Amino acid sequence: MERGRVGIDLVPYGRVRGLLAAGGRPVLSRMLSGAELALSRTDAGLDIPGIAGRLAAKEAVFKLFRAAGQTLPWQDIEILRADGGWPVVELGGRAARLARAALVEYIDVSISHDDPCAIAIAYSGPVPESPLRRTEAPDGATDTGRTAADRTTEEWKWLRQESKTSVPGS
Amino acid sequence: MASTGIEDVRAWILNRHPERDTLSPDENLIESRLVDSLSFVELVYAIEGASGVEIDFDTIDIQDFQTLSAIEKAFFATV
Repeated sequence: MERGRVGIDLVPYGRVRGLLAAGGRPVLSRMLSGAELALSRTDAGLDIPGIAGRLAAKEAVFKLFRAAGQTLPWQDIEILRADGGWPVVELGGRAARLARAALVEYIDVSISHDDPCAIAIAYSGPVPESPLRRTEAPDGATDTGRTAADRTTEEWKWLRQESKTSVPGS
Repeated sequence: MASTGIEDVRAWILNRHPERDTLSPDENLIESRLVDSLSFVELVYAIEGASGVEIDFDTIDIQDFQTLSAIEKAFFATV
């Protein structure tokens, strides 16, 4: 993708509480993966602001795909947590296919919480250049002899671990 | 005559929007923001509950959920 895209979404905490009270139906477990549910549990119970932020981030990421007529593949967009505490996006299944179709190579997300809402913004754009391969010859070849197309292919190999597409967020 | 099941779905939507007292069969639920991405999952459960049909989230066709008429045709049609 030559140009960046942004997606944004906001989820009130009350919407999450409403989902939890949805007649005992497992609504949240349809929207959050097992790993996300584990991250959403605290000693005091479910982390409502955290869930709201996670759902907002999923919607924000989905907007990057500009997938008209598609439902949001909730569980295929995982918002996990890096060791440093910032959110990490992992795409799998239909979400990964939508990302490839939209030429989305790299995604960053940021989430903010302030009662009564969580807000998330997602950015997609070209894969950031590593300082290790910053130099690029005029014909498009890098200092290691790789072309931009080679580099993109290699990035996808890196992004796709097993069936998942791992994309760091911040 | 509309089926009882689709009336349950209509009532479920209207119950979430107390500012509304009517919902026509052909009103687009998504464009009119009566159903958004969060409530869509709940709508699917509401349809399942009213129809007895289990809906596979992975194979959902959004066209089947655009209007009450579409929902009725997809999930409440009698043969």
